[in-house]
Amino acid sequence: MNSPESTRLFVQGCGAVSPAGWGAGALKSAVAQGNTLPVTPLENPAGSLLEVRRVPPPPSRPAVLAHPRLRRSSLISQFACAAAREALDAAGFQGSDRSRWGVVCTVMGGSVTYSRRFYAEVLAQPSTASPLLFPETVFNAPASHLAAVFGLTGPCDTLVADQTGFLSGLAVAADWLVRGAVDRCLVVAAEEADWSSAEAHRLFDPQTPTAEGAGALCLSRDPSPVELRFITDPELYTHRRTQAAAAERVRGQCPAEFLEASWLQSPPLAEPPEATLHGSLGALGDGLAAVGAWTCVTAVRRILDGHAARIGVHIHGANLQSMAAGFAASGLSHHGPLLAPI
Amino acid sequence: MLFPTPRPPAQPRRVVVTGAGIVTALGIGWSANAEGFRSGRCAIRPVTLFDVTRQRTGRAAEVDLPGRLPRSRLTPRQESRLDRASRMLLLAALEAWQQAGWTPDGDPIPQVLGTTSAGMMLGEDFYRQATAPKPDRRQQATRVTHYQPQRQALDLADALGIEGPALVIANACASGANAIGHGFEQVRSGRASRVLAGGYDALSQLVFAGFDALQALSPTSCRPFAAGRDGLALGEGAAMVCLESLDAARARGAMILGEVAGYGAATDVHHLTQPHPEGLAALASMNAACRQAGITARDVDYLNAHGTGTPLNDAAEAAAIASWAGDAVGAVRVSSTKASIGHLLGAAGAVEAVVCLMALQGGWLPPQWEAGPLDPACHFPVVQAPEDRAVRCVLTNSFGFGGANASMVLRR
Repeated sequence: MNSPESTRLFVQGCGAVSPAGWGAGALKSAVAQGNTLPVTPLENPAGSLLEVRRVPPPPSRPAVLAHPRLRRSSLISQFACAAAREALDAAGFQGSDRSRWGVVCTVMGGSVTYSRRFYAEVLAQPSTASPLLFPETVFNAPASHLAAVFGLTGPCDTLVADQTGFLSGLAVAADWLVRGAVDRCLVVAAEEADWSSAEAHRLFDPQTPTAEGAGALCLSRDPSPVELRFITDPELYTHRRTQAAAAERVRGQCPAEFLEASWLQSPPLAEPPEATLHGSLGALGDGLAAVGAWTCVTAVRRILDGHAARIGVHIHGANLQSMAAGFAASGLSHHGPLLAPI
Repeated sequence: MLFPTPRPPAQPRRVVVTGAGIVTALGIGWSANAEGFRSGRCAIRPVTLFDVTRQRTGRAAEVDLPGRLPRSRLTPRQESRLDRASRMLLLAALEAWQQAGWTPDGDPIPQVLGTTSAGMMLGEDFYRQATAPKPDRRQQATRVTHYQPQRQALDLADALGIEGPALVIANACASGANAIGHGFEQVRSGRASRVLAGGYDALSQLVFAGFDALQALSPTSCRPFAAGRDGLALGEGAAMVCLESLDAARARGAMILGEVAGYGAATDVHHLTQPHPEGLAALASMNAACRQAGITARDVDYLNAHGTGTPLNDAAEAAAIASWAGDAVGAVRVSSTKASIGHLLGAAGAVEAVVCLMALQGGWLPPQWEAGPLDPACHFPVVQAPEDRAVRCVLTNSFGFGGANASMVLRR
């Protein structure tokens, strides 16, 4: 039987790859400065230019990308593994029982580049379509690579959702941890940019460039300075409920202690709470599922840096649901570094 | 609130299935499918949904969809926009919902869906239009939204008038089993009183060509565990189940189709598309499911194998079954219903769970014809002809690309 104490969950590490660069530090700096990051033009087959925010080349190639499983993998898997590596290193992953780690990976677009390339080959001549591309098109390819690269053999789920998927992933991880199904859990969200997804995104939000990258958090029951305090129920965008009404219902679920807290929202709502730190994540673009992860990583880093004692995260998804989570300083120390060297 | 959660019950709840819906190439609904599986009828036939003339093989198990859906709460406009995968999902969900006698009484009813490709045919349409010499953009936004599984989850919520979290799991060919497993755990731990769970997938050109590119499709016939097997056949369909606690089902006098007694999942890190030759993760998931159910191999009357018919999968699964069953391996009766309906990918685990419920209810084992001489690695009897017998406890396996492995124990 779980006591209330045993259901407290803590953040053991975080990592990010984003248009701001490789590492959670680069993400935090970009969000703090709020500078608009450069866009890259991508040409669609009709000759139109689509603007996307790509991940810049790393200063040096991360060692994790040399793993044989990633040799032919798509960018989404490489981003996921790099963000995970940063989070796992911070969480003191070395030496832990890897069969007791869970993995939850969330995507919205998924492996769009290989999917588009493979389908183009199928239309041209299916008998010669590449057998190397197809396996990389499945939604759980990034999660599979993650599990293999780090040798994590416990439960491993891929969730497909909108930008709220990362919060749903945290909830699945919390469920596993509270039930004792795993000792630690890695939650990752990742996306890659392609003209096909940028074109689809432009149909709904022509003002915001699509973006790519990944974010990761490691959770466990082991005490650390940052605690996951709550995750609301999602409020679906059914045909009986407007998106604004869904967002309002999410706010209504948030604990009283967070009503006066700082909030990070993505995208900013029309009528944000007083203390909202909204807008700064807009510098990154719409990273689809990765947006949820970047927002949570930013919240954790701000708490660690002493900018706030508690931060709420409200993700207003594009086409599924609205959802919120809250992180707070725990007042507890940590056994390891929590922040990977940058 | 998803976290923190209420204190779980002192004893985990027993979880039962009170409604099940199924759509396969054998037919629409429980009765048509039960008749087909009991006799081992094969529904694999030439593909008509897309061009296969340039593929190595041209057969799959297509569903004959009815022109109209049963009545639901969807508006005519919503219904008109449903793609093939959504229609199969809704058919299965509406059947399960009606069989369970559930109503949307205001309490949240979480849904957990498994899929690999959601509305892939719409994604293909989007791409073809985007790359056409004169693109027609009029329906592109609809294609984008309805391609994504979020839309199918919302349509399901609207069709039934339900509220509650919607989780879409995409663990390749184990997705349907994982979805039911997640639902089972939610009810078992007291986090939800009712959960609607299952899987769905429609055939699509991209996926068909993908399996063909891997040379995983059989150019002859799908013969799981046969010595001369040469690949799988793809299929399409959906299955949904209504999960609730045994106490709640008894209290309202609901018909109980079976109990979900155990669920296990494990990850095979051997290769992206190939299982570990000894089926180590398969063994781990089978052991975990049986441990949770408090049973051993001797208690299992029937094992519905993942049994795709590919040389590597069936060899690994046979090795895992042998390790799991030990001395009892010769007594475990095994078959793969993929010989009848093909591999339904994200729907497979859910459909096969419903087949197991049918076996429990009807007292029969689903045969697979045409197995022929078996692979010598199979130390268990494969059901190759219709067989009536008392079935009290079954185990079903689902394994997928990326190393996703799931097993479930169901019993009367």
